[in-house]
Amino acid sequence: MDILSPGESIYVRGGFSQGVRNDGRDFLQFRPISIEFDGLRQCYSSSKVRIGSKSQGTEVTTGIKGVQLDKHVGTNDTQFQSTCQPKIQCTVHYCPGVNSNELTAATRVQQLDQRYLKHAEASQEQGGQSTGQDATIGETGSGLDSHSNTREMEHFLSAFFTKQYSANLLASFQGSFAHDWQLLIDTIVTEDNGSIIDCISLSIICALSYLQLPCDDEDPDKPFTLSQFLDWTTLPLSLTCYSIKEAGESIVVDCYPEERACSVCSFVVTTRQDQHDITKNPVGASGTSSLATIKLAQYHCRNIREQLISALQQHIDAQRALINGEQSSIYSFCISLK
Amino acid sequence: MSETIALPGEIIDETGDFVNGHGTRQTSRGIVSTILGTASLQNKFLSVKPLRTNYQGEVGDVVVGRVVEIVQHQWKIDVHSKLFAGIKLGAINLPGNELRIKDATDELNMRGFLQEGDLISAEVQKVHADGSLALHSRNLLYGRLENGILVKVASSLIVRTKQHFFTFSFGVKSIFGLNGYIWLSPSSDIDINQQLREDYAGASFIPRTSNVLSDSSALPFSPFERGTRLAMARLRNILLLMNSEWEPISPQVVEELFNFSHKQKLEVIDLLNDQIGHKLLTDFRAYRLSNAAST
Repeated sequence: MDILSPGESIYVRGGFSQGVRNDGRDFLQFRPISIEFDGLRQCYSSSKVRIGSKSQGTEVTTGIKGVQLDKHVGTNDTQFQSTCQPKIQCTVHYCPGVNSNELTAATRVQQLDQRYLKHAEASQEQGGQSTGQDATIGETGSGLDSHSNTREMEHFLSAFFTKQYSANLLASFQGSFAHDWQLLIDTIVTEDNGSIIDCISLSIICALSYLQLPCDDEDPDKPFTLSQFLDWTTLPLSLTCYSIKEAGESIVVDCYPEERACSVCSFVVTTRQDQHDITKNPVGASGTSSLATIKLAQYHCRNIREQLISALQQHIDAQRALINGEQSSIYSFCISLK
Repeated sequence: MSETIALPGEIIDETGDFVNGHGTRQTSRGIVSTILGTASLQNKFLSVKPLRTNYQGEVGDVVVGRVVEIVQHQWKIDVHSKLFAGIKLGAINLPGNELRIKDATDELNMRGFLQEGDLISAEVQKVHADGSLALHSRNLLYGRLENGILVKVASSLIVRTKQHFFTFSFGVKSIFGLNGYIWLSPSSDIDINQQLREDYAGASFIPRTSNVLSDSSALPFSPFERGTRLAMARLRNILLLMNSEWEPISPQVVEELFNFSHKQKLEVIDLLNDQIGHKLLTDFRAYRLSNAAST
């Protein structure tokens, strides 16, 4: 990725203040999303998600395999439920076809770095004296900065999604199923033009939405679905929001790398029904943000998640009706969020 | 043997009469293409020219590039070539109206004119033996590019024309770099830049004042309308669309397509959609054909 020149950053920030982004979208508008299901024959379920157009977009492929561990036949129900949660292992390979030495995770603006540093210092001093209206979330440690390379990116992403899907998702597990399974989720990033976490998250949801594992006990031909994935609309979705100062306290979603470089700080908001889990990554130097901004980010993320999930459900239902009874085949569609 | 498209892994010769060249490999089955491109034959020398390739410069080409490094006497510029291009300190005009020998003070001040990340437009002065380029900007047309956006397309798509600096009728000026980098900026900047140019007459690069970024009111650019910004967004999306649809890019065709997309009542964000974009270009090709037939 390139370094962003000050001359370009002037234009991007001017666009923020006028409410028009580089490609004509509004702040809360996503690029078209196209999803392809079941492209990988070797996996139990797979999906390919692309955010953006053919020439400039983010593309992620996810495949899910399952490993059957022990069989639980005729055991005590309560004991059964506590032992047979599927273990989920998530790996993310970040390889968008770029030389890893040259790649940095974010484009950067040297002069803006200094500006943010000043801004952060000023607001920290303010926070010490004032009544504590400004909230600064502590750094996450695994957050990425402008000098991260592919390996760090991969570590960050895999750590993030392993945490999401092994702890967060399965904490509220209820129900029973026949076998103790270990799920292996493998994700490959083949192209990166912003919104990488959103894209991976959506891709995992799409793959889980029709995950069917083979059953060899009673009816060997009929695959079964793990009970907590029957209602896949409750799965957590992670979205990245960027806070910008140019137009008041505004939130921008689905940013290009150059827009990311011009924002103050980014949040990763993971929404699951009513719960929120927020990770904050400062862009450039340590960005600060107020509680109001975080609330705003939560609000917008919930709205976008609802739109996204309902659009996805509509398409999946329509497609399922079409291919009913036949073998599942590759199908793709395009979602444009307003 | 006429020029044919060769796919990677395709056997292009089984007879064994030919010598394998670039983009091919000799195997037990014959000569196999290793890249996607057009197969060509010179005497007994069989090679494949790649379709998508890095920029290979020629003297006199207008290019747009990004400064990646400052080394002794020169800036290293990324022009999407296989090697970084260089622009020597001696190949630019410094403030002051006359040509003069650059001394050590000028060398120390190099970062004041151009720093890492800056975009410039320049002309290819020389192609070295290893294929790297030497650029120069001894012309007031060239210089540092500010307040606009860079669009990257395949370098082989840019059509060589007489005019690579083009001002569109809808208030956008552009530089179509032959290396596939296209610069778009609002044309209303001209007046204010001229004021600056008078102050620094004859200079290739106006020295950067330190407070340009921190104080937005001191920006050396006039504010422009929301409509211009939307036109630039549309132009950007159209260029990326032409790139993905493999349509040759020249200012005239871009302007026609811009107006055509207006006629089709397409919104700016519609152009991000692959299906709509594909339909637009198919219609546009048919429209151009019917126009050419009628005249």
